[in-house]
Amino acid sequence: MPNTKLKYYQVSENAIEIGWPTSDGSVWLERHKMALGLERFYGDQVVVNEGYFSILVIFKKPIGQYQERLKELSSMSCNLENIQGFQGTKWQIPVLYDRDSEDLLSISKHTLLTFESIVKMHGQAIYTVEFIGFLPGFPYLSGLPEKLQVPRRKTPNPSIASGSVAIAAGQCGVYPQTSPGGWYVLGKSPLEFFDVHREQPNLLSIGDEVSFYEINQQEYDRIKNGRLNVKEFSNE
Amino acid sequence: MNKATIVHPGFYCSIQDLGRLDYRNVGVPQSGAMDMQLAKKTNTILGNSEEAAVLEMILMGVTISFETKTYVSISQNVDGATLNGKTISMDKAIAVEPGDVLKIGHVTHGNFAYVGISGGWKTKPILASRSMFAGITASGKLSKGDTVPYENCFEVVEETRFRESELNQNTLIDVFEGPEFHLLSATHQDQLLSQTLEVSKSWSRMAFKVSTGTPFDLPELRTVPVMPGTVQLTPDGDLLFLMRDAQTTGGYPRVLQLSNDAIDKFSQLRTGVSFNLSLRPINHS
Repeated sequence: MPNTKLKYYQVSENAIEIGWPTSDGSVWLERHKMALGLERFYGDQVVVNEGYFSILVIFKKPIGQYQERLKELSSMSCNLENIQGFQGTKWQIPVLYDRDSEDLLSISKHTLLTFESIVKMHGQAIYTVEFIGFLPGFPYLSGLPEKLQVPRRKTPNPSIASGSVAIAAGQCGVYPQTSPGGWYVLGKSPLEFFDVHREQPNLLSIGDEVSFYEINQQEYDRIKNGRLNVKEFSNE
Repeated sequence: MNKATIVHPGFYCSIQDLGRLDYRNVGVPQSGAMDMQLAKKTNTILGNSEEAAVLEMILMGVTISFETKTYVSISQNVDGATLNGKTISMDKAIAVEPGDVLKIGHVTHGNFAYVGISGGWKTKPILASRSMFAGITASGKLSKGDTVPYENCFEVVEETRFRESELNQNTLIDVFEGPEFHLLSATHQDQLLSQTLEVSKSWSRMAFKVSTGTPFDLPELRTVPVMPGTVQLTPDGDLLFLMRDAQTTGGYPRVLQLSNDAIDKFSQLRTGVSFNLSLRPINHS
């Protein structure tokens, strides 16, 4: 049986978007299985790009018979059971929390929590990489505790440093390179979240499980300058 | 490998090819030549493949010196092209001798113009593309004194000529309904498609901003995929026409999508130029 709740939309001459109902809560596992299925079926004829509730499928050649493609796509949604045992990597990400920052003060004002409770709550949660976007290697993490809900900044910060761990709009993320941004920064991680010279440039991938732990300045410097293999921070 | 030296980079120049499609799922912008069709024509004149990298200039020309003999081609939308101070004709391949200096004046039509070279510019590919983008390649643009590698070439295989008529100068822009177009009221939809719009001063390889003058109140969506040609509508009533260096996801409603050809055409609209949108059905053949 094809999955009837999915919507298909032709976005351009060579792109079709598959959408999930946004009322479903998180759909990442089903969505990512579908994305993997598409990649397996079409090989390098397509590029897939995931958002929270959608997959954009870009065909490298014109789509041709749209109805044919639709049939292929909807039959794919009934064969997802064949994609067995997708297992994300588990990561323990070190963070040097900054207890003296303006951003922590803003988060404290929004949440009415002390600096200590904010850091503790953030570090106790377990996060999932929903998808990657905004910047190369920027992970959108779900799993932020309800109590840490803060809106995006009204005016973006012109420069958020590379490695910054930040929250906004119910999400947590990490800035892989220095960039303007609208999220509030809790601290910074010494790991490289995106490096084109690494075999896999992105540190985190869709479906990975992430938790954060606190380090001090000394440990931060040791890791930053230590040229460690990033795998040391994962279960692989 | 031989080297050309950037004597003067003009206003902004970079190496671009067809871009890097395969890394969208890890957040890497596609990049690539802004006017893909013009870049491809610049390659065709030299008999290059369409994957060959070209040098893209924005508004102003570059000055380049060459180490060894080769052939170059220049897209026809520039003026004042000279080789060692002598005016050259730009409708065909140009033979360059060791030590020659090529100087290009201004971009006369549109915003983006190209210099091709036999075999393509040979900068180091990063993530399967030579397109420059800050954060992926070492720099997003070329600076004075930078050297750009190219291969030996003693003859041009095939020669086609440029025709003036090939330059895009029409200001009717083909669009499709975007995935969130239906969120606009019928009145708002009609207004959007019928009003004459103008390119603002705020444009780059990432996006062109165009004001509609009508604020638009809609809660922000959960983040969705976006691509070159996607047109977002911001709460201030600005349309953001996303271009080749656009990010891969975004939170504003995607009200329209430029057709593939329209992306090239749109990129050449200058600040202050008026244009109209023409809504087309996507051909569901």
